[in-house]
Amino acid sequence: MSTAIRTRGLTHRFGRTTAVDGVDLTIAPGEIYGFLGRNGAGKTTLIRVLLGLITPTSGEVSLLGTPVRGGRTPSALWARVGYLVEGPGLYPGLTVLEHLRIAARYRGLAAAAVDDAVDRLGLHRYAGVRARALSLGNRQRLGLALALLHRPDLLILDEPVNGLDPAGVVDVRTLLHDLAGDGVTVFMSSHLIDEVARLADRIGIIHDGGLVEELSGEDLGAVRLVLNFRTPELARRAAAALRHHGIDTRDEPAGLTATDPEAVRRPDLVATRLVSAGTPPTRLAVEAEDLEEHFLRLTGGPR
Amino acid sequence: MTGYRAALAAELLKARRSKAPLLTLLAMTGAGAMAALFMFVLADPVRARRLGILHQKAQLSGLTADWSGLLGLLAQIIAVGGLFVFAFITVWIFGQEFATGTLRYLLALPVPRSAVVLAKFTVAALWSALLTGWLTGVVMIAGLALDLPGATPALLQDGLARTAAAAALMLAATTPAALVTCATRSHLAALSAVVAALVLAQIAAALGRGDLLPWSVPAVAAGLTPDTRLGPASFAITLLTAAGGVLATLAWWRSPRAGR
Repeated sequence: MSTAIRTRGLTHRFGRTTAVDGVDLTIAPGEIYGFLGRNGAGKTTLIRVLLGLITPTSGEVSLLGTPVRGGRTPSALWARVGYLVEGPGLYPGLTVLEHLRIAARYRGLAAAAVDDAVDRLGLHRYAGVRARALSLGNRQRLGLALALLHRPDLLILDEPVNGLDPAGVVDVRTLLHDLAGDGVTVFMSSHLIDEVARLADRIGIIHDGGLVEELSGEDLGAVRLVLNFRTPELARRAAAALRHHGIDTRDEPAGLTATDPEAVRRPDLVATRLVSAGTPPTRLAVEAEDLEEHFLRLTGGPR
Repeated sequence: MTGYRAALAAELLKARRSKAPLLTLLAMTGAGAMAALFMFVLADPVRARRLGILHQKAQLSGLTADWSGLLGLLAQIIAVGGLFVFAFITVWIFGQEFATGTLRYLLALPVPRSAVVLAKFTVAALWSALLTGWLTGVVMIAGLALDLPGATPALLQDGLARTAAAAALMLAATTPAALVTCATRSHLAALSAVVAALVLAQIAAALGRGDLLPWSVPAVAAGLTPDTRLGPASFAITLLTAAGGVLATLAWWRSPRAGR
């Protein structure tokens, strides 16, 4: 198996609204992949499609080499996948232990698996507490315990640290790192930029249903040349002019960026070439960008 | 079936930990107590006249203060009240997954979705059977306590058989409640549909066509409509309703609609 998660042209529409738009993902085994997006960007819909809860309008999904086809997905796949989506689903009258025991029965696991899950998520004190009496953070811990109970090969987590206190956030981060070290693939969606930046090997940014960019840790903090222009037409002509000189650029909402090392080292030369081509920039700057700035820039800035 | 035993154990635990079984038990106990009260009123007219309107209601029921009347009342409770109670059980078992948000965690398990659905129907059947047994026990104890006349083995056997038949037929007729619960994702909508079925059953019985509507067939089996008899069509319609409810619910759980 060469991929843990693979999607091709994945699209889903709710009526006339496109929630997921032609997403292509390839995630290798053992990766921690962070999925960032604004509220309503399509993160949760994509996760629901990955888990076969929603049948996509078009496109393909496979997890651990097995095609996912809604209710017709081979049920054996789910023995290798753990997930937490849109919060834990808990029965108010059942205790923490009862939830774990039921899940263990469904998955054919021994009692030791329950004890292990309680240990890992620090749930000893709450083992006999009914779900209705748990705090938000402890409900989330129980949800994570249920996702990890069967030691899956693939974890799909939607906002995994939601409601956790700072110590809990660190615990979960450490846990996910350790799991990835053991070869578990982690796909996590979040709106918490700092957490994603600390945890993920690769980050995908989704906006208006589309995957607008994938970047690695090394990509962040890399220096680049930022060029703004008076009109989009000028930006287009500038891009063509720079391409003529062997400098590739990338379209951005406000202009162009270039990461070519020569361009970054010689912004004066770039400026001269642009003026000669009749496409003078209104702003030229050499910048290093963090994930938050990068994300906001890609998704249209703060609201 | 793979996973069925695990699913059944899970459903039984959920049912045991819920307040819903206690509520239905109380409802059936109340119904049994009401039956006992009716017999008490009919058995002693002098005492009964002091109770005024209750005496009139008991007399209007056309029942007699003996084992025949008591067992007839038992069958009536099951044939009419059973629709709401048995359907409530089914609606609760399926509906809790929507109310608690747990459905999405049952759709991606290493257990076929069909195993989960069949386990739920099994628990509904067991629970309904237990309630029928409980009600029967309450009523029998009431009859003994009131020292009602006319108990013969043949009468008791016939009365209990009618009750069992009414219960089985009513249980079969309530499977569509599961589909309505799932399709509407709402306890309230499903229970509203049950009330509508109850009204239709009363109308069909009043028009003498109770043998052809699955929700009035139990009343005919219980002897509530002396001018109507069950025929092969009655059983076929009830069986088709039962099978249709189960199969349609299974289909819904496997469809794209389940995960939305």
